[in-house]
Amino acid sequence: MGLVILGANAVLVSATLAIYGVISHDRGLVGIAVSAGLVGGVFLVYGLSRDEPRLGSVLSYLSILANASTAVLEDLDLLDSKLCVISGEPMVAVYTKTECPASVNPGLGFTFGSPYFSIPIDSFRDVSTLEEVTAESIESALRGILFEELGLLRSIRVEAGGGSLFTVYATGLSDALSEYSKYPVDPFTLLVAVATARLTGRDVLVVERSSVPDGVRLVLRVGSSA
Amino acid sequence: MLLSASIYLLGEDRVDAYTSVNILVYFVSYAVTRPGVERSKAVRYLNVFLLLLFALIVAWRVYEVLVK
Repeated sequence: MGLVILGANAVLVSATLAIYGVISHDRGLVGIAVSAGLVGGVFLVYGLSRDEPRLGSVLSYLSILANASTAVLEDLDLLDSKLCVISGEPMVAVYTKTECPASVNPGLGFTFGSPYFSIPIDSFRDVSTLEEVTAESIESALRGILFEELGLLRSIRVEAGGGSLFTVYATGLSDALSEYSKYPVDPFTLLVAVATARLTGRDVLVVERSSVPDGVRLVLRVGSSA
Repeated sequence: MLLSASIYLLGEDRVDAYTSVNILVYFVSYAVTRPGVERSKAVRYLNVFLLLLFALIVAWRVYEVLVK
């Protein structure tokens, strides 16, 4: 903010100086005013664009995390595992080849004789649980979170697939997210599954994940024993 | 600003001279310090704008020399 104020002040002073230079026919003074205006303009632009480098830092951090979790999943032979989000305290996202366990500790471990990798989830704590779990209510709530609040995609559609299955179609993903869609720990899939678990207050299993033109298709099973 | 003051003391009265020298100083500083804002669209637009302005000033001066 300081840089913006400095830049705006420099532009104002230079404009005044330039006007004075024109009136007094001192072209050298106009030149100095233009120089000051240029410096002020540069400060102004840099001051206003300071949020974007922060995004760059987050993306670098995301890249490190995605690589680290991929290495862990490789070592545990869980590259073709399924994602399961277990509601409760703490909420955990579990990558395992077996069925969704009732509860696991965050980190690495074994369940049903098979290894798992679980991540404790703290996101979307302020999301209120839906009164009625339908495709329409999930779609509306997910749109509110992922499109209106986070601006991560252009459109989202949810279809009921019979029983506790829901199919989510998301298109126009932000570049930052689509870049990581091929990683085993895909941030977008994780966000959708976690948000759905928070909204429904139930466990969520990502049954299937596939690419569609300009987006992804996720099949989620929502239920206490997902 | 030190550079602008020096040029002023030398008696320079062409506005485009001040502008082009300052643009040059900006790009040299940018190349040396590499402020981590390459992703910023606003900075990219600013760089393009300043480069175009510099090119126009140089082109105008070259045109003047050729016409004479």
